[in-house]
Amino acid sequence: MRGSVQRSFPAQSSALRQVRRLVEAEAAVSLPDAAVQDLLLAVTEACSNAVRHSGTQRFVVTVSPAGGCVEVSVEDDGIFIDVRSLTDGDEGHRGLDLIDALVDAVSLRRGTESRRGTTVRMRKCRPSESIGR
Amino acid sequence: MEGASWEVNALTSTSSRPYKATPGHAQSRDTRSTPPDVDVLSAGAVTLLATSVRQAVPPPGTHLRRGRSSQEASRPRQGWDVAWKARWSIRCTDAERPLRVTLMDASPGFEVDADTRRICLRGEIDLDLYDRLSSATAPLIDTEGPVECDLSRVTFIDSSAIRIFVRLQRSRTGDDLVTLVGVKPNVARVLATAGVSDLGLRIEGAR
Repeated sequence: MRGSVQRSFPAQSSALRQVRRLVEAEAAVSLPDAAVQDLLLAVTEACSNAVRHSGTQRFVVTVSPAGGCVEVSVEDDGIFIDVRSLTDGDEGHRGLDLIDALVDAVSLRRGTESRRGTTVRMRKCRPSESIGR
Repeated sequence: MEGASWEVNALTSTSSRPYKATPGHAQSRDTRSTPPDVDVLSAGAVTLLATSVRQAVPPPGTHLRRGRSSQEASRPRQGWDVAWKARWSIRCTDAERPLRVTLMDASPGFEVDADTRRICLRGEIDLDLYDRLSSATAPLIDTEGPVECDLSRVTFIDSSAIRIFVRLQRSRTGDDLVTLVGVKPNVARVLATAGVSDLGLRIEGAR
């Protein structure tokens, strides 16, 4: 049984690729390619939020295998800002909506000014139709 | 502009001699040229340590193994992505048809031609490239006419890339469109998930 892998990253956009390499290496053991791609995008969006909006210095990514699923959590020490509430035309801020659409389960702990620290926990599972192939 | 970095290390099961792409490929700096095909090895068990390799077209009967999972590639699949820096064991069982590996420059980058309204993107497009790409494409906002965006060498996009596509599309008038060309299946899936075709963007798949 593989254990969890955890790594801390500086809150910089250049860290996003390194995050994907970490998640890719761990998730590819349990998930088919399409599911890995979905997870990589969801994790990128979660980390991008931490880098852009939270005011954190670092964030921590934990990848845990769970049966036919992979769980990834992204934790920061910042404040959660619902970017969907920001006015920027209609052109962007699809991050959280994308995460919702891409993974099987997502939970969000919102960091606030008085209680800093946002955690986005995402679970991606092997698609049911591929079981037994 | 960063130069292309072509490198393949393929280790046979019998020797640990690294396979090198030909010098022409190794030193290629023309990132717009057609990605070179390289015959890695004709047969035998091969462990491919993919650094810049993004696509491999295995011959029939090739066994692919990644991590603990194993699958047989029953027929060559175009656009089969080799995981970045993943270690693949590939067993070629047909000596007549060698494994072909397509190398392409996967370092993130772009070229923008404001005159022809053509954008060429490369590699993984995420927040790290967003500010630079946003500035570089800003002159296109005030232009008239269709915009073409070549994604044939893009291996990953996130919502920040989509923001730029949507911004460009919103700047078009009349029947002018932003067309994304050379869109690979994994990128097309992201675009579909984000619902960009509802916003008027045209998407054309990779040939």
